[in-house]
Order: sequence, then structure tokens, then C-alpha cells
Amino acid sequence: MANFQDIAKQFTEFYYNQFDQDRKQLGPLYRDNSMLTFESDSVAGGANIVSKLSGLPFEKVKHAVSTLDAQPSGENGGILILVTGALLVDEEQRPMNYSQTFQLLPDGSGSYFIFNDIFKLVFG
Amino acid sequence: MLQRASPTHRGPRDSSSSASSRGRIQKRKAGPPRVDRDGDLMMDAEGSGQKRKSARVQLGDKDSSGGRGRRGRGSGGPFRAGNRGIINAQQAIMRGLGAKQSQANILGSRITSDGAMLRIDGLESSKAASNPDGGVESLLAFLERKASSLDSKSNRTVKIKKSSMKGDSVIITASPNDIEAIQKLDAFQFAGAPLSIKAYDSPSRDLEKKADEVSPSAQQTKDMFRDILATRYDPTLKLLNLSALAQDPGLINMGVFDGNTTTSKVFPALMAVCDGLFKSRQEKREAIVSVTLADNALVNVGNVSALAQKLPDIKNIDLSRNQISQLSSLDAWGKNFRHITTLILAGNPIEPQLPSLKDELLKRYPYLEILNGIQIRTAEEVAASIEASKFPIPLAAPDFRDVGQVGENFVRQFVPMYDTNRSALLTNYYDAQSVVSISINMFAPRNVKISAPIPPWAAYTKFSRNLVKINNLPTQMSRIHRGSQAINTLWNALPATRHPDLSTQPDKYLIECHPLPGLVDPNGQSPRGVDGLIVTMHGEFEEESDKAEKALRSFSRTFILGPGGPGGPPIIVISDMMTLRAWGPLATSQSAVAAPAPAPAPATATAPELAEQQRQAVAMGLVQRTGLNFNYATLCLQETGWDLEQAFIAFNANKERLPADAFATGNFT
Repeated sequence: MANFQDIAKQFTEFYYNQFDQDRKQLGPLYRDNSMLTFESDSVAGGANIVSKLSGLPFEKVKHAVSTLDAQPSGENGGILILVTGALLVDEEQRPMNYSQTFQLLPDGSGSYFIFNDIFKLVFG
Repeated sequence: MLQRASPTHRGPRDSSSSASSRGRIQKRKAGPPRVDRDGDLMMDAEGSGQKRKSARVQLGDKDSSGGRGRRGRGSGGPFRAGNRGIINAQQAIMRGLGAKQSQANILGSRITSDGAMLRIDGLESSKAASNPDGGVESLLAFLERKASSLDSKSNRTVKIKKSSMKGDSVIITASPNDIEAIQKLDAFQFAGAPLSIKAYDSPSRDLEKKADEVSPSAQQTKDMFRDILATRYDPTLKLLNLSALAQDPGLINMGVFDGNTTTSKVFPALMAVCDGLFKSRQEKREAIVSVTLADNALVNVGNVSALAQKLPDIKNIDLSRNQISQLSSLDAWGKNFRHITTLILAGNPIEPQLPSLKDELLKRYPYLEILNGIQIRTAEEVAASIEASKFPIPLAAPDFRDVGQVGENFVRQFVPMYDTNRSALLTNYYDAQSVVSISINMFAPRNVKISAPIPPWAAYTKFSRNLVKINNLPTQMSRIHRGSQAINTLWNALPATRHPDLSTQPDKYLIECHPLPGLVDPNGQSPRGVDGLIVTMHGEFEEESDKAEKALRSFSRTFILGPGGPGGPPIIVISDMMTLRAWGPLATSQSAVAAPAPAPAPATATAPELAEQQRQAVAMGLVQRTGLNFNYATLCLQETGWDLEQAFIAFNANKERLPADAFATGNFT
């Protein structure tokens, strides 16, 4: 059984790969009670989250994770993850620092979903 | 040029060389005369003082070199010839180098009369673009310096022989060896912008040859175009009137229109001639502010796409009375014309749709203020949205959704106490279950304008729990600090800090706060969990150090706050994760928000907000006492007129009858 650090690492890797490839496919990572706060705009529910992500004003995006830290969260096996890194969008040449906090919860069938996802650009 | 170089052979230092004395072109051990970057004959720097002097005169004053005033490349001349400082420096370097290097350069000059050419893009996005010469001079110096240092093992000075501008591209010529060295700089950063360095091939040379040897008729055509442009230019208005080109008597006389391909052929030619009238983009920008393309029967801007390439900085475009029917008809201009403030589409089929296309147009033309004569936003709004659009992802003011001011109170106490009294902070907000960890981001990109050195991370690295780097499980576990005591040990080991004052410098922070359901109930009353808050805080602090210079760090910190256990503080930090990175200013949306910007983070609330906050506080109190979820607690309080005690009594009287979903849930699976 993987420990929470490994889960956090696997999750982040998967999440950003998928995000950079095709963020419309991130839907299965969210549930109806999930919440995404992207640049202070909060949306709830998998479908809304995917449409919010899909509608972001860029096409190409590349995340580079610089730091990843994780803590167990709650007694239900939740995991709190804090990621900082840099991202490049479209033709923009200047990488931007971002900070993203995830709270993962087990979905009862051995995998995890994103309960909270808070994204913020912290430096341009 | 090969011929030019050989006959003036003055006897090489390498006496074994006799090839040149036989008048043959030799590849090695060449005689000293060489050709400078502008194609002018230049004496060897190793030569006699007198000759060197004459060489310098030629270098310094390009026009005096006579003979080979090549127009095509000559356009790059002023950039180089004007800077005697650099040239002198180069000569000094040349003198300092041994004969061998000198010969290598001579060789390079000689065997490549035209030299190989490279096309360099990216200058216009660099900071140097604002230099008076558009940054060319510093770009060339940069390339020479970098390429020379990259090629250090050959100890050779890379020299660019010629340069010219093609649109925004800089075309350079150098010897094949130097070209090879310079090409290695592809994708290097120059003044904040990555350079693209690609081979530049013959078409351009052909073009330049054409420019050199314009046939009489071509020259005539060019002159006629220039005359036409002159009649269509209004210097007072800085307006280039390109309307109704098909009716232009001059153009008709030239017979350039055949059938219906009118603008498609004439326009690019006109634009090319127009472009040739200006030495720099800046000059163009200053001369032409507005362009009218009215009455050209344009169905789309495909035929006039050259406008976007040649005059990308114009501010006003009039497309009146054309046949433009949809927004995509403007696609050929792409994302150019970022500076358009006025767009006129009167008398086009698209006109009735404009109100609904407004947003799309604003996106496409971020400075657009006036559409078809109607002000669609103010200059202030433009400025605000420009500020926002500096970031490809629009920035928003922080979203601070507090419950009962718990988050605000926490932040207001946490920040100063972390600086002044960490142990009191531990007592007030941390308990045996609190978990703290930190990680260091040593690779956060920084704005190139920030020159302050990054203070060493030594004090932090042994605590950094960056799971990207730390793979060893025991190390991972030892860097997670659970319980006040362990946290105390960590905090004592970390450098003392000084955070900016929250109330006087709120712009130094981005703080968000959201309710977070489903936390473990420390009182064990609500098996399905209780509500808490998740607080994310981004900011900076100054590290206390004995060194003279200030050590600034930027941080991002996430807290999970929840109710404390029995006998402990009422609100505790369940999780506290901090990432530190090199200091950089925050990407704040202060200026991004037009009109009264919401104050960042915990700020004074308006009266209705305050009332709402008080109600939330009461509801939160009831949540904590009863284990009800927030909605039911609110309902219960509404029934009892927001009296907490009454609500608690009502709760006790009815709790057996309340449905299970009235209680805070902990199970979200």
C-alpha cells in the first residue's frame, strides 16, 4: 500500500500531465462535491470544474512542478498537497509562478478524488 | 571580395606561405587585409600603425569607405558603425590576440564573401527593444560575446560582419565558423526574451541583390508607389489613407490592376515600399498612427494582411464600407494590432452584429476603446484590463470567504505572532494534532528585473520536505512536524522573520479563505466531521539576519483551521504547509480590477457584510456546539431570531427528530 507521499506524487504527476495534454479530461478526478478555486473564482461539481478549466483563456500550457509537499488530512485518509511551480501558457515566454493546494479524499474504491483545488498565480 | 583581399597581400608573418604570392586564393595563412562587418576593406589590426589608423577611419565612418555602399545590408550599418566604442574594443581584443586568431578571422572574412547568414528573432520582445536603435547594437554585442565565450576552447573571437533588419528579424552575416558558434545560442535568453536563431537562406540574399541592383523599371515602380504613398499620407493626422485604392489615379495609371486581384497584388507592394521608408519600427510608429482602408471592397483582411506585419503599432483602423461580414474576416491580421484603440467597421455587413461581438473584439484588441465611433470602454478600463492581461491567466482579487471571522482573526494574529512570539502562537493555535511542514522552491522563475541576490537557503534546506526531491521515506517522515512540541523545535530552528504589516501593507499579501467541511471532530461528537476553513496565504517576509543586506523571501502557505479539542484552543491549525522561494513581487490584481477594487484579504467589511459575518459567526458557534451542519444551524438560528442560546435550546429539544443530514458530514465518498 502506497504511503500518502507516494500517492501525492503520483497524483500530481498525473494531474499536470493530463492538464497539459488535455485538461478537458480531468473530469474523473472531481466529484459533485468537489470545489475548484481558480484565480479566486470558485466553482463546484465535476462538470462545472471541467467547463471552467476548459474555458481558461489559453490553449497550450505546461506546468513544471518545483515543490510538492503533502500531509495526511483527516482520519479518512485524506491528503493535503501543496504544490508550487512554474507554468508557461501559449506563446508566453515568461514562466509564471503558481501555487496550488489540493485536498484529496479517498473515493471508497481504492482511489482518490480532488475535494478541494485552489490555484493561484503568485508572481508574474 | 576574394579578389580584393588577395592582391593587397603584404607578406604574411608566416613566411612559409607562398600561396598568396602566387595570386591564388588561399584558405590558410592568408594575408592580413580583411573585410570588416560592413563589407568595407579593412587593414589587419596587426599591420603598421599607420595602416591601422586608416582602417579605423573606415570602420568608424562607414560612408567614407565608399565603393561598396550596399543598400540592402547598409540598413544595418548605422547600428554598427555608430558605435565606435564597441569597435575600438573589438580592435583592442584583436590586437591582444595572437596572429593565429587574427588569421582565423581573416580567413573567415575571406572565404565567405557574403558569409553565411542567420536570422535572429526575439529582439522585439526583449527589453533591449526600447533602446534607441531597437536593441540591435546590444543584441549583436551579446551574440558576439556569448558565442565567443561558448567557443572558448578555440579561443576565438566571434565577429558579426553585417547586420540588417528584416521586419522584426535581425539578419546577420558572419564566417561559417562564427555562424556555427552563434547558432548555438538559439533559444538563449537575451534581455528577458528567448532568441530564435535560424539559418537564413538565399531568398533574402536574392532580395538584397535585387535591392542592390534594382532594374530601372522596378526602381521606377518603387518611386511611383512612394509618390502615391506621399499623396496619401497626412503628416498632421499621422494618417495613411489607403482607402479606395482601386480608384487611385496613380495606381490606375501604373496599370497595376488586372482583373479583380487589385488589392492582393498592390497592397503588399505598397506596404513594402512604405516599410522601406522607415529605418526603425519606432520611426514608423511615430509617423503612422492611423490607417484607413475604407472603400476597398474587402471581404476579409487577407489581401491587406501586410498591414499587420508592416505597421503593427498603429492605433486606429478604419475599415468603413467594405464587405466584412464576420469577425473571422479579420483573422488574417492575427494577434497583431495589439495597440488598436479605434476600429471602424461602419458600412460593413458585420455592423449589426457588433454589439454581440464586442467582448470578442476586446479580447482581440486589448486596447480597443472606440468601436464604430462608440466608446465601449474608458482608457482607465483599458489600463486595468491591460494590467490584468499582462498575465495570460486573468488575475482576480483574492476570494476571502470567511466564516464568523475565524479566518480573518487567525490571519491577523498569526502574521505578527509568527514574527514576535512563536511560542505564544503555538499555544493559541496549535495542539498535539497540528502538523507543520515546509519546503523550499529553489527554482522559482524570477523577474529578470530583480537583481537582488537570493540569500542562501542553508537555514531551511535540512527541513525542506519537497517530495519532488526527497524520496527517502524516513527523511520524508522526519521532516513532518506533528504536535506543538515538534513544531516548537522546528520554529526555533528557523530564522526569525519580519512580515509586512497586514493592515498597512495589504498589497504584500494574497490571502484566500474558504469553508472546508468534513474535518475530524476533535470532540468526537460528530462522527461525520465538522466544518473548518482552508486558508491560503501568499506573501513575503524579511529574514532577520546579522548581515547588512535585507534577506527577503516569498512564501505560499496553506492552513487548515478547525475547531480545537477539549481543553485546548477553540480554533486550531490542523495543517500548516509552507513553501519558500526567492523573493519576487506578488502577482496582485490590484490594478487589474476596474472601479473600486475589493480590498485584499482580510479587510474591513461593509455593513451588510458585517451583519452577514456576525450571523455566520453565530451559526459557526452553533455548529461547534451542536455538530449541526452549517445550513441547519443557519435554519435553526433563523427560527430563533439569531439568538444562539435559544437556538441551542431548540436544538436540544428537537435533536432526536433531526434528519441525519442535518449534521455536519464527514463522509464524502
